[in-house]
Amino acid sequence: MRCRIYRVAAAVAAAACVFTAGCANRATGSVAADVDLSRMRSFYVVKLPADSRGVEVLIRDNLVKRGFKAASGPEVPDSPIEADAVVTYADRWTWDMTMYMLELTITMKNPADNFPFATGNSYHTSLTRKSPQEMVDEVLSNIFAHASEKKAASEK
Amino acid sequence: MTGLDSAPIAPRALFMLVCIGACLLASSCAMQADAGDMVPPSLTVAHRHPGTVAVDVRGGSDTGALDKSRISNAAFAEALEKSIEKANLFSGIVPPDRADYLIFVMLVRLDQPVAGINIAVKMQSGWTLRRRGYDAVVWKELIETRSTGVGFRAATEGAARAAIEDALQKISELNLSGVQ
Repeated sequence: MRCRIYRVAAAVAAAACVFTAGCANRATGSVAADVDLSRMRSFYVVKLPADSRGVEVLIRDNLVKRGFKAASGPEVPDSPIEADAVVTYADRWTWDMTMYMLELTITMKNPADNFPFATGNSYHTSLTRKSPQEMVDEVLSNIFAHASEKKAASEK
Repeated sequence: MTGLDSAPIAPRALFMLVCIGACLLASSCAMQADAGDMVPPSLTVAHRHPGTVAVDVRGGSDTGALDKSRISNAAFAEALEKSIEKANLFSGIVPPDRADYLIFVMLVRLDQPVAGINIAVKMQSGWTLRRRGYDAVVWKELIETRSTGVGFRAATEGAARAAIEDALQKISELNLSGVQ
């Protein structure tokens, strides 16, 4: 009898842990203090060589939807990029019944020196999963929201 | 009847604790990276700079109840300030409007595995040192560090500690006396 209780307790504990692990989510965005994102008009999204899912296209399209001029393509080390900012990303996918995007980090960099000035991250485990389009939108919204808050604070 | 059925109560309780502990680790029920544990235990500085400094950290995030251990801006800033004080790298830490120098840190990426016990964490942070009143950047560098530890918190703190150590070492090697 006691053994059965232990087994049930262990099963409940494991199920609770697995269930709660499936609910974790996070969404952040930050911009350097000396950068005014509202003055940026054009972006170049660098495709990750290993990305076969076209995440760079989703980021480019989202930027275009926000009214920016955006292009995407491979990194070209020896040629200057004609854009106000270079956008890079790191996506992580995992499987739970189907493959889904677990985490996405988008970084905006100065094309002159490739130094980062803005970053955003979204992390959604299985039960709060979002489509890749929604993940991209969430990360970029957080970055631009942070920039808007900063601008509003500086105008006060 | 299994081996577990015939085991005495104490081993069963131990088994339960191990199961729950493993589940907690695997489910990433981690704690926020602690400022004190992100301070390098020993710092070797080449030069001590006479001016005062302020610290600005962005890109971090708080650790959610069900999240893996993350680094908050406040915790990283506190760890950086403690490290600067410990190494006597600048004459003091003051608010940004009164500081001779500003260290700006952008926590760009924190790569953590989905789950595990022996965790490898990779961190990328952009560091900038500016002198007050001047737009020119004195020093800037993208620093990549990695750390392996038991659990998310230890590994994450290790990566942050390594970044602080590397950055302060490099800042200490700068000759700031000639910077205008």
